[in-house]
This record gives sequence, structure tokens and C-alpha cells, in this order.
Amino acid sequence: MSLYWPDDAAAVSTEPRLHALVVAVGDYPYLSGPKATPEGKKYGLKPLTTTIHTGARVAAWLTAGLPDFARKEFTPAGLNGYRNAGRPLGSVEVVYSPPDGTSVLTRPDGKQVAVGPATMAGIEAAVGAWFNRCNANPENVALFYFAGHGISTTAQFLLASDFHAPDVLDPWKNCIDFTGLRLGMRRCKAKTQLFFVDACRERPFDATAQVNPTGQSIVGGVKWSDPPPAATGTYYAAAEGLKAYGPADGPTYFATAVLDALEGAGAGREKGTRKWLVDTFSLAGVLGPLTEYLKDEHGLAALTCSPHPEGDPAPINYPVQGYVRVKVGCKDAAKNSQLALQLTRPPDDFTSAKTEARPWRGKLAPGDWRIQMKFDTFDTLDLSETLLDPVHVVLEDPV
Amino acid sequence: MSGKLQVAFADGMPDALVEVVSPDYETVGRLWLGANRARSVEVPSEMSFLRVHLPDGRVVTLRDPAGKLKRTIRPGDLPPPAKASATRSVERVGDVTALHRDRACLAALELPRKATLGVGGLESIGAPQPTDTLPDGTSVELAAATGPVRRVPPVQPGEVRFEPTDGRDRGCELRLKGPGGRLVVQLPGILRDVYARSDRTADGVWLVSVRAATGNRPADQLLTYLTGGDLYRAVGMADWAVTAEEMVRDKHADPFAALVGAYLFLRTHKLGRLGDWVNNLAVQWPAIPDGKVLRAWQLIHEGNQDREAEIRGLLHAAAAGLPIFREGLRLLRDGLCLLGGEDDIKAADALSDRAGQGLVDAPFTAGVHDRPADATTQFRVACIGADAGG
Repeated sequence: MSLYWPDDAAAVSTEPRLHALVVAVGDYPYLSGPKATPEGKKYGLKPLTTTIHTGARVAAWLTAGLPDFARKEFTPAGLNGYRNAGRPLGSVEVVYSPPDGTSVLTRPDGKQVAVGPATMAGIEAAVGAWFNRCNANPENVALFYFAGHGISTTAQFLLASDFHAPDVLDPWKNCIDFTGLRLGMRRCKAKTQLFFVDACRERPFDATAQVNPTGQSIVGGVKWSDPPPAATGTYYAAAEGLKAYGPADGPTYFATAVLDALEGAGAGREKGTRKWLVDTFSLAGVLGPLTEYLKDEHGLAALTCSPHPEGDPAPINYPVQGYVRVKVGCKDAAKNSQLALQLTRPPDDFTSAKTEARPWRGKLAPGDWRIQMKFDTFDTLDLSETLLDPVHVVLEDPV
Repeated sequence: MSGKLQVAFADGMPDALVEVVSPDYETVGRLWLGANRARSVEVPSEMSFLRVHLPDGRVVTLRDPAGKLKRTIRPGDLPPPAKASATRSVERVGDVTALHRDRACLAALELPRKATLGVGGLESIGAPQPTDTLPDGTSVELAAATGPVRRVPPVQPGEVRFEPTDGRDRGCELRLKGPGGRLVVQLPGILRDVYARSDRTADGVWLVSVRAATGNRPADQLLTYLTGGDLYRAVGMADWAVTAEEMVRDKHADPFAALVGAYLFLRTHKLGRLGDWVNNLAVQWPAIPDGKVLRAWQLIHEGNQDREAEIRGLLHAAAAGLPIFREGLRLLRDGLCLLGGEDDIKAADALSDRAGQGLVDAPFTAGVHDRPADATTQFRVACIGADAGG
């Protein structure tokens, strides 16, 4: 059983809903550690902890906006959660294999939930349950999130926790052929389908596995003439190596970018309603800039992303407020050290003393801002900036 | 007060995407404009303002305090060209992005507006001599239908640069070989400019980057939007894409630009805009696999079971080569997998082998082969002008 929310599978609605499946794999026992097989060790793959934080964070984000989840002390800081009155949350299925073997997650309402392992059998069972829920209503939104090791050739393959298990003759049996799964989902009636592939690529593995990786598409039987979903968003991360993938004690950088976008950095005004909205197109449009922002902040060379929306734009999330990621500073480090900032857009007024870290990074509401850069030994730079893009960078040196 | 806002570009303006934004920051329209062209969009208020996305990556906000509904933008309304460093040093990853942006500005400044990106102007200012090897030891060659393409002096030190190409019948192939393995990049046959460079960041990682400008700057812009998933801005160029497609009726036209337009319509399921000309692309340019891929997908979307053999024939013929654009490679493999026959899957697997380790964020088909397990080199491929931001 891997239903994270609701508590009872019988309570899952067949009305238009978002149904999510989160796969988080950190433990690869047959590739490293005491159970590792000689063949498995050759891949040189390490266990992951950032994927486990990612799975927990994505599941928490999906449920944090539920009206009856009032115990906010269990909600990760800064998350307002999924909000879409037209497609409320229907279910969240989680399979989860952390290196420490635990299988209990704490939901934002404080409840401890036991979920199933992210072995191939666990993933297949979870995909089956998820597919059936999504398939129950064409107005549903299907959301799939994978965090773990992967390999991409022209296709994408994702490793289950028991990849290369010694009792399986085909070493690629416990591997998801994600391209096949995505194509197989054409059989599903849900008109909006979202796929997040948050896969760590390790160079030794890529080098070893260059010869014809295969895997299980899990959902088969699709015909070429089956019509595609009306709206699809497939969002890939490509992080080479653990450093680029994510910190050991937090979610992956890609998950950080995705949740940042959904929380408001990717929001625009919805036509007619004026509400802040993140849809399949706008999410795709902001992931690149947000990834560049994270690369810059953390000094990462090997982090990229590839968002791939298709069809018509479809609403995903209605965040509480749209915002812009902002970086302000000087190019010259010596000038940065004497920089004090004032950022004003009435009634908002922020100051940042020169003792604070530079460049200044923060979130500001979209709109017209006055940015005053004050120095000890130079004239003040008084700038007017229109903040509308998801990332806005001001790097100015006084003369 | 709502109304119809007309936006015009005066003589001398570059091609650019213009976003029309309401006073409460809703983007109400996206228009692709060039010199002496005008377009209109319904706005909720005459105080709506414009954001012009310039070719150098900057975004300029233009407001009209008088709230006129007819606005003409002149070159003088734009800020002066961005300052570009000819000798930027690389320490952080972001410096490489800035370096490519500088390079795009330098190339644009040094060359006359209507000239091809040739080398005469650069040679006359005493630029460095051509080289065939990057600082990390990677060798670079460009193969066109007519044979190896001549190297020309770089715009910035440390780059390997090639002279423009003008092949309409087939693509070019850029081949790099070095400590990070072999990188093979499929490129259009018409290239205004193409170069590779390698830079080492402070933590010792070599970044090997390839940048290319195809024969058509709007096509490069659209390709950059498509590759980055920025479909709202891509859709803003739909009218341009129609024009590019109509031009392929002329055999001297640029089929590569038309392909990019077609990929937009396929991606957004605007199949009504994929007319007969897609079939013309497949038939008139048989050595460009992308035309066959697009035609096959046009038929797949139509869903007529009687066309299965035709679809299979098109996809297998395309799989004999490699599509030029990454979108085409993805569609080709997806199409073969959807057909699902034993031979189809074999062809898909063979295609994967030939394409190598794919660069997922590249606009062109680009794959790494024979990558040593201990290699730390990172490869990046993009269009010239794609390096925006800070």
C-alpha cells in the first residue's frame, strides 16, 4: 500500500481531480554496500539522500494546500501547496526507498504514513493504481514525479531500487523505460498529463551503460493511432554527478526550481479571472531561468533542464501570489562590500545593510521597483526596474 | 479604457518579440515584428506597455505616458548596444554564459547589417589566426555536403570558428574529439556562423560549448524558445512560422527555417497549419530526415489506420540518418516506439546507439560517444544569441 493521501482508497473521487504518483529512490542495495553484486558494483552508483528529501517535499507540497490540513507546523517552511479549485487534489501515491530503509513519511497534517518501497514491483503496483484513478475521468490531471538515478540516450531510463537484483536474469528488468511509459499514457483518458524526471546521471554509469539500456514501459498496449493528451508537460532535469544534483540534506535543485515555479515564480495573470496561475507552458518557460539562477547561486556546472510542454496550455496551480527571483549587486567585489540596498514599491519597502551577503537575493512581487544602491565612497545608483520575468538580475557598478 | 493597440517597428529596427502587458502585469499579447512592420492587439487599457526582447538578450520596457493606441518604436527608443568584453576571463560557470553573450554582441557589431557573417571584416582588424584545437585539447571539424569547411579567425581568443555554409540539400555535421569523448552535432546546411570553445571554471571542470547561427535569425530565436520550453513566446512567432513555410514553395528557400516553424505547429497540435508543404519538405529535401519525421507525425495525428505503411516507410527512411533538430530525433524515436513492431523497435534502438548520449537541452541533435568514465568535461550546444540573462 503506498497511498499517501487520502487515508482510504475508497474515498478517492472520480470527479475531475489531480492524481499524483511520486517515486523517490535513494537506496540501490545491489549497486553499492554489502548486498551489491559484482556486476552491479561496476556501475559505480552511490546511494542518494537528496531524492528522498525530494519525494517527501513534493508529496508535502501537493497536500499542504488541502483545506483540512491545518497543522502548519508540519508543512515545510515557505510552501503554500497545491491549489486548483477546478482540479482539486484527488490522490497522492508515493513509493519511497531511502538508504536507511524507513518507509514512514510525515504529512503536513502531522499524520505518519507508511508507504511502499520504490522497487520495480512497488512501482508497477503504484503505476497501476495511479493509472486507474487518472483514467476514471478525462478531465483529470495525471502527475508523475521520479527522483533517482537515470540514464538518458535518445530515450530516458529510470532505475528502481532493486536494479540489478541478483535473482533477476535481465539486469534491465528493474528499470523504467520512461519514454515507453510516457507514450503508454496515451491510453489514459486524463487530458492533462505532467511528468517530472528528476534523474541524477553519474558519469561512470553513463559510460558503462551506453550499450542499449532497456526497461519496462509498465503501461503497454498503446496504438499509434491513439490520440495524444490535449496537454502534456514533460520536465526533465539533467544533473551530472551528485554535486549538481542536490544537497545531501535537502531536495534536488530541480525539485527546488519546480516547487519555486509552482509556488509563484512561474505565475502569470490568468485571462479573465486576474488570478495568479502556473500552467503547463509558463512552468516550462521559467524552469530554464530558475535553473540558471540556482547554478549561479551554487556554482554548478553540470545542471541543466529540458522542459517540454505539448498541446494546449493547461492550468496546474493557482499560487497565493506571483513573484520574481531577484539578484542585486555589483560586478566588482570591492564595491559590493560597501553596498547598502533599498528596494521600494509602495507599500513594500525593504532595506539590506552592507553587512549582509552580496549579491542580495530574494523574492519580490512583480511590478515597478525603485532600487537604490548606496555606497560609502560612490554616488548612489537610483534605478527603476520593471520586474516581470521569473528571474531579474541587477549587476551595476558605480563609477 | 480598452481598445486595439497598434505597434509598429520603424526602419532600422531589428526583428524582435514584443510583449504587450496590461497595467496590472497581465501579458495580453506577443507580437513578432521587424522593420517597417506593424501589428495590433486588443488591450484592456491604453496604459498597457511594451517589453521588447532584443536580439542581445536584453528586455526593454517602453511606456507611453500619453497612452496612445498607435505606437511606433524607433532605434533611438532603444538603449545603446550592450557593452561587450573581448577578453572576459572565466572563473564561474556564469562567466561562460556572459562570454557567449559578449561574443554575440561583438560579432553583430563588427559586421555590416546586410553582410553574411563572413570573415573579411575581422581579418582586416587583425584578429587571431584560425585554429583547429580548443584549449582543453579537443579537436573540431565541420563537415558539409561539399566536404570539410574551412576554419576562419575567431571573434574571441580560444574559439574554433568556421566560415559560413550555404547547403540547402542536406545538413552539416560538427565533430569534436577530446578528453571528454566525441561530441557529434547535426546542424542545418545553411550556417551564418558556427564556433566551439572550451573554458575551465575555478573548480577545474572544462566546459566545451558549441554555438551556431543558422541561415535565419527568427528561426534561431524560435528554436531557442522551443528548446527552452518557452511556448508562450514561441507561439508569439506563429505568424513568422507561416511565412517561413510558405517560402518553401521556392526551391531556393531555406528549408531549415520552415522545419523549425513546423515543429512549433506540431508541438502545439495546430495541425491545421501543417499543410501540404510538410509533404513537400519530405519530398523535395529527401536528404534532410526531419521532413519525413514531420510528415509521418502529421499522419500519426490524423490517425488514419490505412496510412500505417506510409508512416512506417517515412520513419524508417528517416532513421537511416539522424534528424538535424533534437525535436526531430525525439519524434522519430517516439514514432518508431509507437508503431511497436519488432523491426520498429530495432530501428529505434539502432537510432539510439547512433545518436549517442543525448544532450537534452540542445536545439540540434547532439550526442556524446566514447565518453571516458573519469571525464569531467561538460558539453553544451545552443544557438548564437541564446545566452541571455545575468
